[in-house]
Amino acid sequence: MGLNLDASPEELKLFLEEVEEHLQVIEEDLVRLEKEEGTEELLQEIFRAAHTLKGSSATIGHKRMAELTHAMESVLDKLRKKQLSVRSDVIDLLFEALDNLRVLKDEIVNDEESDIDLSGIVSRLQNVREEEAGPPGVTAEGANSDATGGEKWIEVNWEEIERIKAEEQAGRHLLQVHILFRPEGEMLPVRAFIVMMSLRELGNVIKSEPTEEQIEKEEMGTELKVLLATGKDAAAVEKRVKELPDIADVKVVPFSLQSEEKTADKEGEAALQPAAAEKNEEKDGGGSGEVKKKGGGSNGRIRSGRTVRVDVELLDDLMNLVGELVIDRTRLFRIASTLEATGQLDEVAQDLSRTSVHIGRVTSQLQEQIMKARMLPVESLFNKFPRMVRDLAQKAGKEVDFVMEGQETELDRSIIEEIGDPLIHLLRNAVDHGIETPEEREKAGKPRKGRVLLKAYHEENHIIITVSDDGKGIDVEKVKESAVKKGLISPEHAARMSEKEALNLIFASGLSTAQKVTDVSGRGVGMDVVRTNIEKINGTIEINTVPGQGTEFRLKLPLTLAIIRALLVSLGNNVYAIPLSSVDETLRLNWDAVEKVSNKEVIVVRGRVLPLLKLDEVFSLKIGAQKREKIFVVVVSVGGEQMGIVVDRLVGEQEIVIKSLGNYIGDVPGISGATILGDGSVALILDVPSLLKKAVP
Amino acid sequence: MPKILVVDDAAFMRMRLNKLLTENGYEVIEAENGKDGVEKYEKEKPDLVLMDITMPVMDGITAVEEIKKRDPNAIIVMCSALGQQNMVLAAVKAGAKDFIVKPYQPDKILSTVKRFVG
Amino acid sequence: MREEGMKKEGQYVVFRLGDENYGIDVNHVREIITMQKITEVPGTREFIEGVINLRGYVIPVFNLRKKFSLPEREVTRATRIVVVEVEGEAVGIIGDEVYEVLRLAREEIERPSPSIVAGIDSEYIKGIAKLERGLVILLDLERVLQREGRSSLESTA
Repeated sequence: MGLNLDASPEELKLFLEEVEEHLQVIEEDLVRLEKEEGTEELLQEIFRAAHTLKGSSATIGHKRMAELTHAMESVLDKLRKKQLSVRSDVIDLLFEALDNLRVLKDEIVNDEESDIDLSGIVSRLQNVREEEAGPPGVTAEGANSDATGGEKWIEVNWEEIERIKAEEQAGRHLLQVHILFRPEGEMLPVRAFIVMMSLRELGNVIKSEPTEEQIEKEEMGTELKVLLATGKDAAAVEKRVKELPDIADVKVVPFSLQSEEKTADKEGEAALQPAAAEKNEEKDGGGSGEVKKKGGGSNGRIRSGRTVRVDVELLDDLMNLVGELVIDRTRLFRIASTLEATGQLDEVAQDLSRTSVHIGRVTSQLQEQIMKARMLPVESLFNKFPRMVRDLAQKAGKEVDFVMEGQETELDRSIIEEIGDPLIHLLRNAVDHGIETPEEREKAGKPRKGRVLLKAYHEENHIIITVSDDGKGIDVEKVKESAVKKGLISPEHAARMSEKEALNLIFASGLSTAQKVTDVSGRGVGMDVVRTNIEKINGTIEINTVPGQGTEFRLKLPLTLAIIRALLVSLGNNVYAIPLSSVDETLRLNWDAVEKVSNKEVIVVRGRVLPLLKLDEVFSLKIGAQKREKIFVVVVSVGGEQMGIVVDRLVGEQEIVIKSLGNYIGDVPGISGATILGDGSVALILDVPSLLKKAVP
Repeated sequence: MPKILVVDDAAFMRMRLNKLLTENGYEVIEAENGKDGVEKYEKEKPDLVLMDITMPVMDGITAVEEIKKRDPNAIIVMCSALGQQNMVLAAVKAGAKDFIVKPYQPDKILSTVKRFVG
Repeated sequence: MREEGMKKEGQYVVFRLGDENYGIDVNHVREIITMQKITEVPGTREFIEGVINLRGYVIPVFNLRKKFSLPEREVTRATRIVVVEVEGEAVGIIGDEVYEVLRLAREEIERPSPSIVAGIDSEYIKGIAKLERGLVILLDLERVLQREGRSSLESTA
């Protein structure tokens, strides 16, 4: 039996060629889809192929092929919009449909209808499609209305009346346009939209039922009412609308304001009552005579409840994903610049370079936004301190005025978690050992009541938190004495130390234990722990003290933990990342600038003696130590201590995403984590504080 | 003779439209995707464009936007399949003047074209 | 946990190290990838070869030769990294070659006897399967990869 297709032999030949092409695309893509390669593009491509097949087969009148491709297309549409997940059974079904399509194609080749039954596959495709779908939307075709009698005045509210008055003053008159569409017309909402556009060319639309928003949401039947302010006469408007396809009937009637005033007053009242307004909002589509509000009611409803709760884990995941993007961004930049440098593919290279700049910008913004989403005001942490300080003061017999500032300052939640303990230590020390007893204070001519200030604020890309007191300050000499007594430093060393260096002894572990606290002006309780914790999150801590006037601890914290700026350096085949927060400067020196002091290699920078650290020695790397004439030295410092790290080459500065080495590797001395470089390889992040302890014991 | 640009990725569809329009006294230019369509539009300045929606390289909606950027008075009619209502609406918002739904009925195509370019 | 290995039937990914064949419970195996650039991490246990980038995650790679005192071999084109998941963490294990997934009935698996398996501590072995082409040593991954007691470095706060 012939197929009776509506196409010339020439057209059929072309049609068949394209069918074969599309079938192949579908087959290859389905195979790749199964292996989960480049899913999104694939789905787009398969969808397009099925879609084109549907269009072509419908046109030549091959109904069965059109029917099957239509069923495939709707499943694929769901897949590509992620309304349906790519499951193996769905892929199997699509393969099966593909096999059927081949049979149908052969029908055309042989010009003979096959006995293949498509109802099974089509209905299974439909089932899959429905499966994860929401409730079906209202279809324009289905909605019917007995609207011939819809000769009702459009009602207006007081706002609209104002506009109407203005239009009338401008010399335009008002027409009520009532349009009925053919129920069988295609895509009536789009048609309605086009009608609205055409009317706009004739004048100003005061209002419409359904509203434009409703039309866009496909919330409409087969009629449209428009109140139009125009200079044209009714006949001209009617003619214009009648030209358009799928219009069953048009009536244009003049509109007069007088009869409306009363209704409008009532309407004005309703607009003031949100509840009533909402009720109206919910009843849409009916389009009888109900007045829809665009004003206060609906807007207010949207604004309230603009926040959602999000699981912290989700934010962490998002942050990780952004981390991936940051890495890819770096990679893209590199590719683009390589291409540009070679000068080939000029246009493509430029295009890529533009695109990568754009991606870079978007990634930065995304990163910023997600970081913002993870921010919490420090208030959540600070809140518990007033009570704690009060209790401590009472126990210690001190009078303390505790002041907090900048509670609204925001910080990444993971950092807030990390700084709780250090802050408790610092506040406790301030109360216990910083602030004097009321009697001592009076003797020193200070108010009885001491003052402890906890303050948070932004400074460039950091958050600064200070804990300060107006107590007795730290006696630097006593700190030195204690350190010498404990054997931490030699007396000669102590004599050479600057005040700042000496103060930093407070952070040395072993300087004091809990019982010995009083020996060193009370500072020392877990101060090494405080510093370790702050440095762990790439922060720094500084002390300022004035004897008799008080002490300030200044914590400089990064805004986030996940991403830092780092200096990449290479040594042998390895690349290491050094957090920029601890890098002071980089130097290029001759080897002969290296001196030996008590069997240790040092360099002298502007009069300062810096110990040198060689990573290959510390990490026992088997690197053929290249004895070059020139060496690179990265000068790093933590808490006032400086040293130089010897490297082969400076690779550059970039943002890196900190990755954990995992539990199997655990803590590694000298390494704080890893990061992934633009070329996909892993670089280790140096743990400067722990390396410094090695070099400056 | 009014000039009409047919933009569709299916050569078969182009051939069909070309035949219909040529037989009815129009001059027809073809383009095989949105990007090609924009380029041909600039070069040929047709009186009307028949634009498919789903196409590789550049889809029809983007092509409408691009053409409108270059010529705000361009007359573009979208050619769509059933179920692409949102896309057609997007195209209309982007400046398309009308739409035709596939499978094409010759009189509908002709009446639409006639309405715009006579 | 231990009883898990005693199911009626199990599937094992078999890989070769030198002349020996080892099997890993397929439930542990996430994927098998080709050799990657491994970044050495100083100061870790000897049989941790280093870390690699597995689609954005940094995972450690174990060289069991070092653990089982087998002679070193060159990396060849057949060398693979078997990515396994143990105690919720992904870990790579280097194999000279990865064969197939082997289906073993419980009766085919014998308890390890020290005489058969020289060099490997029998605590690392879940069982042994005798096949026509030779022995397959079924590894108890949790024990082989066992995390060590943390050093004093941890424990601050």
